[in-house]
Amino acid sequence: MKEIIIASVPIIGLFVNALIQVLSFRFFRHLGLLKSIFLGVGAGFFVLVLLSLILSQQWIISIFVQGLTYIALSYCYFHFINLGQTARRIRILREFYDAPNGLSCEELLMFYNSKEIIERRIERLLAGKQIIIKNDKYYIGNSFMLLAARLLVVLKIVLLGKKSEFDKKT
Amino acid sequence: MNILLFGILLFALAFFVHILIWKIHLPKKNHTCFLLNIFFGLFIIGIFILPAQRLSDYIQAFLLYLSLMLAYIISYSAIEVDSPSLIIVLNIAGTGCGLSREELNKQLTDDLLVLPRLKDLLNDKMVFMEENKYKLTKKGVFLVKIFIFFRKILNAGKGG
Repeated sequence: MKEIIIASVPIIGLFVNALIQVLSFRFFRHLGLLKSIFLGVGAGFFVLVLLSLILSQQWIISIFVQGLTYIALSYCYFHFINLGQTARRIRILREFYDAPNGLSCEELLMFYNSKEIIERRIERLLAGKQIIIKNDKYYIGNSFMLLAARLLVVLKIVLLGKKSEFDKKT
Repeated sequence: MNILLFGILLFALAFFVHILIWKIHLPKKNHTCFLLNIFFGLFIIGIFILPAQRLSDYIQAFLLYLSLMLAYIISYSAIEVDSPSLIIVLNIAGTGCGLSREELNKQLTDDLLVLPRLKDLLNDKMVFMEENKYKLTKKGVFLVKIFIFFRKILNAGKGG
């Protein structure tokens, strides 16, 4: 039984992570989504370290292995939250779900369209200072997002042989 | 330490096989399904070659492998599909002299941002068409309900 508990430490950590993230986001709204995610990750990792210290004899190795598993699981949880927050496919599904008789393409575009998508992204990019606005024009702010975008383009070229989903394979 | 090495090496092997297959023949669609087959295939092989003695070693090694696998497969969608935020940032960086909202709206149309994702949903059988109207399949309803439930727990809006 103790063996199974030791092996399940990353799952317990993930559970604590999700619990703290949800509670902090619900009840301390001013924190915002990103901070609630960091808080959850921190709380889960704290529990993981604590359990490894109590349960495992080789606790350094245990924290290393369990920690890596926990970080990967937390990353998946972060993506799950992010999907609900930003994914276009989920939002389109949501619009169809709210219309039991279905929606034509034109009706869908009335509820959800490129202008809204751009509006939301610009807001988030401005808030994160990834872009800045000067004289009604947008410029790159801090270069983290630009680096991430360029890295993704490199990965697209390596894996898919094209820069964008709309390009033909080179 | 064996568990850590085993989990990482098995993941690296699966990743190598995935790159190799992608280089030989890039799947036309359902990349996620192909990825799952590759990674689970290696997972099954791993069960027979893991040098572990205790049950907890097995669980830890495979939990590590599965979590790395999931993290990669989730990230893969960002490689497969162009993210609007990244397109915006790349377009702004590309001009060198700034970009106005009007210019962005002209560049990023519904044809680029919405309709390809609607097509994905049709391909993935999440949505079907009936009398010129798009409706959710059972699979689509199931998926959207998971997100609605979670967004309710978070007390958050529709997102998107």
